[in-house]
Amino acid sequence: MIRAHENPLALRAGILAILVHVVLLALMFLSFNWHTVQATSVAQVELWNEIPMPQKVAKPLPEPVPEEPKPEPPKPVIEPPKPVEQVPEPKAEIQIKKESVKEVKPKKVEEKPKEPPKPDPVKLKEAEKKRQDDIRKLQQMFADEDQKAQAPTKVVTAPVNDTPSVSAATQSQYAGLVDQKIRPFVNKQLCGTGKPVVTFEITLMPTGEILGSPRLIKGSGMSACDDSIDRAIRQANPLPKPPAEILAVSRTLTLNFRPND
Amino acid sequence: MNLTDDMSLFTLLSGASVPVQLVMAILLLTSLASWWYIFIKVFSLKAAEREIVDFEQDFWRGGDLNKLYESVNAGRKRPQGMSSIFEAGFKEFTRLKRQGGLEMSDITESARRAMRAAYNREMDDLDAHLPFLASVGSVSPYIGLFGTVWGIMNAFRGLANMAQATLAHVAPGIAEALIATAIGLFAAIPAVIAYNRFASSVDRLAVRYESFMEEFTNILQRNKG
Repeated sequence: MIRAHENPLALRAGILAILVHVVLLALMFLSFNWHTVQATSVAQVELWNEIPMPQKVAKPLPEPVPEEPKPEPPKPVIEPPKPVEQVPEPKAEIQIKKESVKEVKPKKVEEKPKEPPKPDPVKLKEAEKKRQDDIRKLQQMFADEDQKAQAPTKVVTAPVNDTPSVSAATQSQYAGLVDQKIRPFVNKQLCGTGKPVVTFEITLMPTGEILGSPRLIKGSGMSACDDSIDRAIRQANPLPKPPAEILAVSRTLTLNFRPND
Repeated sequence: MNLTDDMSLFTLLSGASVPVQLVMAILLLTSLASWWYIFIKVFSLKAAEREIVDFEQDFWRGGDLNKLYESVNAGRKRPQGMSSIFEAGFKEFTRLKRQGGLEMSDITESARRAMRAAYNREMDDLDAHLPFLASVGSVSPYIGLFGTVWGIMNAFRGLANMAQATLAHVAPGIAEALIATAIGLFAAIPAVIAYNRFASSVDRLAVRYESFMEEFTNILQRNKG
């Protein structure tokens, strides 16, 4: 290490060397102590956690509202005399209308039966009285169903008498919510530029938490892409609370992802 | 590392991954060792220079060489620097002269050889630790760079798992990693500066020793009596 003649110097030199380091470290501590004040992107996460279900419901619905209610009322009206519950498919259509009418303009719908002369503001003005009658009939029909239909969103009674089919609207609504929740976590760059479709199966708890691990049903062919979606699902873990309607049918969900859409 | 944390030096050090921390520990040790040697070298070179000045003053005062030899050997310690060269040469010269029966040129030649041996010993002492400083100066930036590369690799691998890759996710990792390079440079720069300075002052001392040897050989040759 050191020569014999350097022994008397060693201690002094060692102390000085340590002193140099202490001084420099102290200087660095004083000058390096920068504070990072960052505009964190945490806000996004909080948004999702705090928005209650009903508000989210509003988002997917606006699309069906303007188009479907108007053209379709006549058709169901013709058929209603026959049993309301026919084949699952037409029923689903009715439910879409019912829900859309009910939830988007709930107050208006309820006002109508009480004040028939004063029709609804914009959309229903164009409709003739016949139509209004039809609508009223429909509404009465809905009112009957409301007890059945409103129940499923809060109580689990309705699906029991029905078939296991879940209304397309709630299903697509919920799918939209899940998609919105998971999408920010997906690293799209791993999925290339094509249009891969990845199918996962997950089991949900009633609270929206994922039971076990997501199961890959059909991969995109790119394992990195599949993995990234798997990670995204795990990261999104408390998914939005599934509607009771869906839970009543099955707790396993099949999710189709198109990361590049 | 949490984004809301303040990026103080301490969090940068403690947040780094194990290989990077290892690299930083090695660099800190080399830095300590090189500064230790630097100070040892500063002191010993200064002492050697002072010794040369003192001895030359005594030598050129023109006193009796025997007396000078006595005073050099008087101390308990072995003579060092120029006095050790003088001591080796003068001892050899007097011994051969007392022995008798030898040509003058042979006697001075062998005294010169003895001085050359003492000179080599002195040079060895003066050169001590310089190779260490040289290798610290050239290698420690690479060690630091290795730590940085490793740390940045980890930072980017972590980024791959992130959905929305923002600078805020990579920046702390890279800052941690760069600390390693900073420490490497911190160890290397003083070592290189010190190496260059010491090398040149050792050269200067060597020149003074050699010229003293030449002059002393001349004096011995003249001093036939």
